[in-house]
Amino acid sequence: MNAHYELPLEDAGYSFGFLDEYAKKEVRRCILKAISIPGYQTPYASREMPMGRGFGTGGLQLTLSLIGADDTLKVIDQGSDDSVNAVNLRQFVQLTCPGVAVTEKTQEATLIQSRHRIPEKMLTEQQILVLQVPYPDALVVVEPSEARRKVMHGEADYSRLLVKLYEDVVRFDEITLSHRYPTRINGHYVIDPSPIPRWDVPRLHHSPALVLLGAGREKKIYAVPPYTVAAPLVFDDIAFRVEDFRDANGQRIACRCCGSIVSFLDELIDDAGRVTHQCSDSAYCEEQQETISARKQA
Amino acid sequence: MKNEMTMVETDIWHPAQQQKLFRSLLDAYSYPGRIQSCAAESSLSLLSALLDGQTTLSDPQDLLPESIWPKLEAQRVPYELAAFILLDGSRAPQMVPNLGTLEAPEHGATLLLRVASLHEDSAGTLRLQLSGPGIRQPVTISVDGLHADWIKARNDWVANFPIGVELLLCDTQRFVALPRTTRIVIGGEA
Repeated sequence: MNAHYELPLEDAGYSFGFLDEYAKKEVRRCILKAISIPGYQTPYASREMPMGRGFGTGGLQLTLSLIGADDTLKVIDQGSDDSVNAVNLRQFVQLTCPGVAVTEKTQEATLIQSRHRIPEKMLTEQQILVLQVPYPDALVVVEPSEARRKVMHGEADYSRLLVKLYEDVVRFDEITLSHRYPTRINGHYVIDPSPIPRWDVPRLHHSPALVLLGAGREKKIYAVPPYTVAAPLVFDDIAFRVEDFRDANGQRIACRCCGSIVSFLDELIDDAGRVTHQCSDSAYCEEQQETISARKQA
Repeated sequence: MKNEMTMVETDIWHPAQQQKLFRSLLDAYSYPGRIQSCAAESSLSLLSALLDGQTTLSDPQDLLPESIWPKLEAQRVPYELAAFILLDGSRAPQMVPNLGTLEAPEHGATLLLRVASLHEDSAGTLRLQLSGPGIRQPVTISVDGLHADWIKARNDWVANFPIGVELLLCDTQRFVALPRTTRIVIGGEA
């Protein structure tokens, strides 16, 4: 090989989507198996990305394997389009996928990569949601051996996980998991639905959009196909419940910006030291505010 | 930077075209029973979008021309070991493909069955009623040129979820995916 050979400048850049075609094909084959076996953690050869593992490399590899020039991408982090993780990932995709449009509006996006939230707006069949996953295996809290966990998953043996939840009930009279709530997909596999709040878990159930979950560090891809049963793990006599945003008087707390009383709220401390609440989904909040100001003008 | 997306429209070996094909495949798997279109011959297009040197293909009936193999790059292996198998759907199944294991169900094979034609309605000879994940209301599609034993055998192979196989029925330029989770009843209503 000629050591002095240099690629022509035009060819020296990265290919569309940064990953090479072999890497994309492998991820794509895994995605199809993940959809075919809902909730099963399909192993794949997670590639080195130009960012640290744990910063959304699993989600990013899914996005880059899916994306085409006619896609419109939205990237959110904890509901916000403007936080560092979201901005970095979005800029990276813009840099490596020329022609791809980006948006902050949920309804305009064909591909949504998200960290820890599902957008407030109902997703459609034309959209795909990619979730970044730090810990893919819901059984890891009760079984350290991955080989053993694989057998337990295959046999749909979740008794030890139920015991864990039961211990919570005994100690605190309620299951205390605030996020990563174990959710059973299509009556078999229990997944860790990534650190989405409980609020978002019911939205996995019979979602019209495909939900793909990617764990880069743990090298796993799994999926919740559209129109599929996604049931949080509960007991017959203890129902699953989502976050309660009522104040001491039983009144539903409203968002301080848009006044919404139906969205998932973040708790904030304002400059005066008071506790206030604001929509976690910034795009939803802005849209509500625009609607209100348009109504005022009319 | 090179923008491959602006190039050739129907070249199935082109990355941009393979991305489009993959998205059709993704829709097909996500919403089983929805028939997808390809710009070129469907079974070959799908193989070109899915295969590379890391995976295995079996073509027991020699349906692929020899000149295609180097382009697909896939390792040629016996039927029972293959990740992807290309077959003529009009002939009855002969052997059991790899169904995967309880610990590694993803090793279950993907069978590409060439059929004469796919219909979104009951116009074809073999009617299939589909339900399961990805299907909101049970739908009926129909197929010409598919031996009914395929569906019977497939229903046996997927009986013990999570192990099983995926079927891709391909007519000349269209295809439909039947993942292992799809419940198939032969002779369903329109």
